[in-house]
Amino acid sequence: MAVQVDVPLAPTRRHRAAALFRAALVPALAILTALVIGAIIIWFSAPSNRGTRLEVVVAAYRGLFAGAFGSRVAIANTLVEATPYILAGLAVTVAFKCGLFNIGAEGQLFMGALASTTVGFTITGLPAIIHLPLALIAGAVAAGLWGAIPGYLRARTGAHEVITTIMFNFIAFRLVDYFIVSGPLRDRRASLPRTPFIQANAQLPRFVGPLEPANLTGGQEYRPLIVTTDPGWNIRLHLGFLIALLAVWIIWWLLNRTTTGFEIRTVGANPEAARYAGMSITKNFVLTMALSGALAGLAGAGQALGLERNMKSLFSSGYGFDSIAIALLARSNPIAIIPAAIFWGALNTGKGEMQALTGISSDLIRIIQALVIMFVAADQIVRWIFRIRQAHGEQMVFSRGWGK
Amino acid sequence: MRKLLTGMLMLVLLLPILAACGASGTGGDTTGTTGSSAAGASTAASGLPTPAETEAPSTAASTAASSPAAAASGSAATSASGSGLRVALVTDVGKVNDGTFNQFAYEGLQRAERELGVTINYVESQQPTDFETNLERFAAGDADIIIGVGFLMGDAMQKVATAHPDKKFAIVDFAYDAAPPNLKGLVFAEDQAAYMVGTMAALVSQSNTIGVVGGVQIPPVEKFVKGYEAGAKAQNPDIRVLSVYIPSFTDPAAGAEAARSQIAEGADVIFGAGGPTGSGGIEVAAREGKFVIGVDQDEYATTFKGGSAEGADKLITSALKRVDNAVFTAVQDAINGNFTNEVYVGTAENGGVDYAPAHDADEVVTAEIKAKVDEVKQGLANGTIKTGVE
Repeated sequence: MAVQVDVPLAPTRRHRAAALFRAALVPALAILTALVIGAIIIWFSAPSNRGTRLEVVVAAYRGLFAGAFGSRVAIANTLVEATPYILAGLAVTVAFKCGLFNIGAEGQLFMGALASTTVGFTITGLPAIIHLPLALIAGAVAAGLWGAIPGYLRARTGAHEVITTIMFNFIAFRLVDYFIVSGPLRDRRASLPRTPFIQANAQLPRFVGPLEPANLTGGQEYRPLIVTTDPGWNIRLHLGFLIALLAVWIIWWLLNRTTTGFEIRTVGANPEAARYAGMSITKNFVLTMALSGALAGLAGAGQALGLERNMKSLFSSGYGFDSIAIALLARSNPIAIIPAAIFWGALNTGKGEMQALTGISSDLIRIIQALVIMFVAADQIVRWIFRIRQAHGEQMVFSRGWGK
Repeated sequence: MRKLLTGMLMLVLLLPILAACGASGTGGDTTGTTGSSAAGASTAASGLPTPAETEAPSTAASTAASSPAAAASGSAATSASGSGLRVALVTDVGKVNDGTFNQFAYEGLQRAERELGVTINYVESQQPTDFETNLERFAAGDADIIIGVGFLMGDAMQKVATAHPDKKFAIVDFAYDAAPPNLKGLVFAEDQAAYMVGTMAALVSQSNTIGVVGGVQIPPVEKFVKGYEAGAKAQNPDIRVLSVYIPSFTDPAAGAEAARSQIAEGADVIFGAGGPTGSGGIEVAAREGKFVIGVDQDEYATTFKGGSAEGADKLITSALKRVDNAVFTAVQDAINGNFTNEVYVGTAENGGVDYAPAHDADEVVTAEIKAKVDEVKQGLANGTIKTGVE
């Protein structure tokens, strides 16, 4: 937040650096504190057959790091994991800016993936240059509409978006279950409940890798941008990552450099003042939620078109929910979403290696993630531990309370 | 700023102190591991705790708990010269001690560690997107045999197995039409296990209405539900069988809700066939005084905590899938050079499926009922009884 406060005088480079430092300080210390507490938990839960407790702690964090960044494949996996987090985290951030709390990112993600996959496998014969954007847009539009409904309900009827978006999650899950498990979109030749594979032209291509054997992909030949048979370059990173980065830039630009963004932020800061200034609350709520939904939908579309190439009934487990944590960690700053998402992705990617090396339950990662969120949300704890004074105007409002 | 630095410094200083505590603590541990049973025995004999023992009762307890594992790995190390193969397990979404087929598969692996001298390792998956990375981690790493648990891993398994033709793979609950030569499916005749417990349910029920709480509607779960119904109907054609599928394996609350509504409709025997979701159902049903049936492994030991949980006397049996035997057999085949991609099917005939003893409910499950179910089991084994489930 502090980064974007308009300083009357032209900000010097030094001012900017100081502001950046202040903004990043609490999240960074929250992560540090969580990791230290995590180390203490490993200490007490260390299995006795893997060396001394200190060795286990060191091995656990070394494994976590190696699993996330230790090799080219590991780094790629971390970025792959971060991709949906960036987009969905951005979705939650946009809603925060308008004073809305979008807990429905998970459901919107499902709707986006469903629409993208459907367009991806039902339409045949289109060139990639048309088919891929079409599939992506379908996902964004479907999820955008799904998100806009709670926005409209909030603006017109006062139904709180926290309630409605949670409920819309369940509706989305059950709809997807219907379509994929028993309904018309299920691939009848597969024993797993999933849709057919998407057309090769609708895939978000991987950057580098081998050609995948067509017998594993329902007869489709998914071609990466650069084809190689080198197993060290068999990486899953796909074009969705660049789309996520692009989305970050677009949202930053939209929020900070356009009238629309100004209106969204004003409505978020003070709806009464915004109304008095002639801004439409309804329009901004609906627009923001649609935008938020579209971003979450893109996250789902990226998973379906870039990673799985089909959609399974148990498709995501919590990218949409974790993205709330990422938005908190990034303190609603679109740019900061990127490191926050990569951190989250690294924890998720590294935990397997950590468990294989030390036998520590991978639940430890969930504990560390929960601690990070606790320390970021209740930043007074971190400020008290590290004796940091709160700078004026640094508090932030994520969402308004009930009612109104 | 200065205060911040002081804070950081304190933290840095704290770490070595913790490390020092741990070094002495672990020193105690290692001696404790070898001597914990002796220490326990001496306490029991004298009845008076020695000062050393009162000093660290928690450490003693923790080492006592972990020492079997340590001992097991120790014996594995000595006998590892036998094969030296490394076997890795990737669980379905769940844990190696969650009381489902994940745990059963891990127990099969632990048996292989003890008896065959293989080295074992595992990673627990937390979400379906973990499957491929977790399998790939072991396939690209140092494992020789990789075992995956669960139907939902089917696609990922085939992909990784194809990419690593030099490694051997086995997957619980999945059979491929055309498996790669290094991939073995381990499946079970769930319908036969369910048929046996369905028979028992029909014999135990007083209200002539029984229920089943299924997990996600995938083939293994469907076979449980349909086999249960077939077994019950074969025993009593007029019985009413209420069945429901819940689109999650990890939602005990939804399972409990489903069980309650079946009880409200008059069911007095509930079969939970869907991992923790089903277990949630039978836990509630047992507490409300209805008879219940577990699934996959003997839920007396897991869900009902060896009889100490409330309602353990209501668990009349469990429909067993001997995943541990299947996994152990696959590892054994790999060591003996008999590993093929031919699907292993656990049936009543080869002991791959079975029903569990009644434990605390044995006055309800009378000798006649047991004889009747054993008769059915015989029939299933020698083929005179067919479940009629595809």
